[in-house]
Amino acid sequence: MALGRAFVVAPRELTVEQREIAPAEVEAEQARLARALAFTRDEFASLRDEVKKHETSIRAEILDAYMLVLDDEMLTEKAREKIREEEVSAEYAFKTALDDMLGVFEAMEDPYFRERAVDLRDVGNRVVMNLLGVAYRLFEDLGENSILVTHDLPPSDAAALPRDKVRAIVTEVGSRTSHTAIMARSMEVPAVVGASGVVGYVRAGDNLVVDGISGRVIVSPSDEVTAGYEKLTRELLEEKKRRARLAELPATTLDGYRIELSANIELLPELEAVRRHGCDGIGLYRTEFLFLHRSDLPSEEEQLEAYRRAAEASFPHSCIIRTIDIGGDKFLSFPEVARELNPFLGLRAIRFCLKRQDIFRTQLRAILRATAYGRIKVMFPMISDVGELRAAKEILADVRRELEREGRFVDEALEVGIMVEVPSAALDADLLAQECDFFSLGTNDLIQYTLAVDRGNEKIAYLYEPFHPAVLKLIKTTADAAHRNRIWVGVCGEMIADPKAAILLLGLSFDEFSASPASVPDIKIVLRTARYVDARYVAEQAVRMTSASEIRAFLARELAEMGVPAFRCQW
Amino acid sequence: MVHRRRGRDGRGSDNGVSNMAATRKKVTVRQKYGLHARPAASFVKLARKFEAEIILEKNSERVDGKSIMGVMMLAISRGETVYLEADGPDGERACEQLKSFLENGTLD
Repeated sequence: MALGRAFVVAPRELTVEQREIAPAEVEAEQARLARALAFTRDEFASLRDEVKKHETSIRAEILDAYMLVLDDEMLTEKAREKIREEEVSAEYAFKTALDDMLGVFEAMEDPYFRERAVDLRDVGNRVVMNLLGVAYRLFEDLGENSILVTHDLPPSDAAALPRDKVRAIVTEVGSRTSHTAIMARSMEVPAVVGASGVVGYVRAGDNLVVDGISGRVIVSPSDEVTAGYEKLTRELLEEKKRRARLAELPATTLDGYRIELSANIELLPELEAVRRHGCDGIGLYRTEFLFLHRSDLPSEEEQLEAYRRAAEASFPHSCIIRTIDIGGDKFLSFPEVARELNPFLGLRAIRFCLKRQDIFRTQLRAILRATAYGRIKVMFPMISDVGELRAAKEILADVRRELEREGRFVDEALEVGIMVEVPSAALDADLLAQECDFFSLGTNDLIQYTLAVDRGNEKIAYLYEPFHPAVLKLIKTTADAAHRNRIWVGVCGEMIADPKAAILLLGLSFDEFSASPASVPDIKIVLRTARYVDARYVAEQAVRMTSASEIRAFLARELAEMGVPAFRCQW
Repeated sequence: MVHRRRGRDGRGSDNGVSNMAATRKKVTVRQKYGLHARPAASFVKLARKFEAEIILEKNSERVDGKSIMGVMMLAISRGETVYLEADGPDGERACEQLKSFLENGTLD
């Protein structure tokens, strides 16, 4: 969301005349081309170095790719050949050589590749401009609070964009997958792409409101609309600042109870969000995502690399790696795993691993080897009795011995925990707690198994009730058993994104909360505005109540009284 | 659509001196969006670390693996099968590493 004055960039059509040269000029023309290529390459290199100072990867990687294009033999040789054989000017030779190749890209079916043609035209234009001596000063006249309105924003222009002046970007072409959109996201600049006709419609200096969330551009808004958006923008900015400050602070209650507030992740790109939202490491790394959507199995080395990166990014906090939870609603794409009639009650998670020990052992080897790079803990999903835990631990011990025989380092203090998500595990928590180092309560599955409600089935979605008294009893049983046996207990379901649940579980003395990185700031606010003693009282009352609606109403009332912000209630 | 592969001197590579048999491997590409600009750039950078001549082949179309334009022109999407060929003293190693790059994909 942004307000500002339009800075309209008229479409630049670089017309290059076919200019023939004398045979004697060929040498000189070749030299001009070489100089222009080298010059453009230097421009990209310095842009890249500039970009690298402020942010990671994407924009810099794109510029890297451009530099490779500039010294691509296939392209440059074709241009040289045209100068030599057709006796034309360097700019004409280069432009036509590039156009020939772009024609191939534009004919491709895959939109992702078609978009790249636009990007490459940009590289070519840059070279041609340098050959023509057109000074490149696109953003020189850009004032404060500008909104850039342009037909297209090629990546090299985007890279040169003065971030302190540009409040938003509006382009006529482009899609969600275009580099413009990708880069705008990485720069956190609001952008509306694909607003066709906007360049002809908007005049320079027009007041604009750009709403990047809904994809709206409002031209010359009324004072009322402007005031509304100004207020919203200020609020969003405040909120953003507050969150940035919040990321630095621990999840501690007003009376000093510290909860480890960590992140659930599925894929490595989420590590950025884990850092940005100030999570205390990773509380649940769902490793099955390494195994899905492919026809082969990830190798030990590939897994090691992923676990190493997660462990390093989490340090000095821990990274809890859950062994694969295949089955249920997630299937490997190779055919040996037959479809089941009732997959959530079938060969899933630890059951699958104990059956397919080849897959399990490879994963455990990778996890154990990764313990050299950070504070890794390992967790088994869907344990339903002590026998399963023992069997899994035995394999783990065997794999550890194997690695030690190979002379590899394995963290001696590696903690081994289980997901408590099957009602039998919650009921037997006292027995299980004696044989592992921690519990993590998986509320999503615990709720569906306890209430016999398929959470994916819309027809009975209303029965999926996190605050059902029976669910709360199991949660309390689990937490109490953990503490009686002096092990720590966490929770890693979506439930805790609801402040009512956060207060309740705080009151049940949970040691760790793990949620999606984006919900961590909200949960942290709840914890930092609450008192542990109040939460204890609230939890004691709640677990004695007879219905979910009674519990919800009570928790909502108590939250309001405590002054805990009750935003984003999900249920 | 024919793309002639050219050697570094621009005169074609038929005059190569190596008489070792080229290493040839079949690979299924795993990059999320295929080999578009950024992954293609990574591939080319890796290929250029080797002395061996690298050929990437899709549907019998062959391009120089050290040319980003060539690699991008193959428009290799995820899940497609391509052939990697490396000819030179470090050909075996080049083939191995490039294959692993294509197969493991990048995580973004």
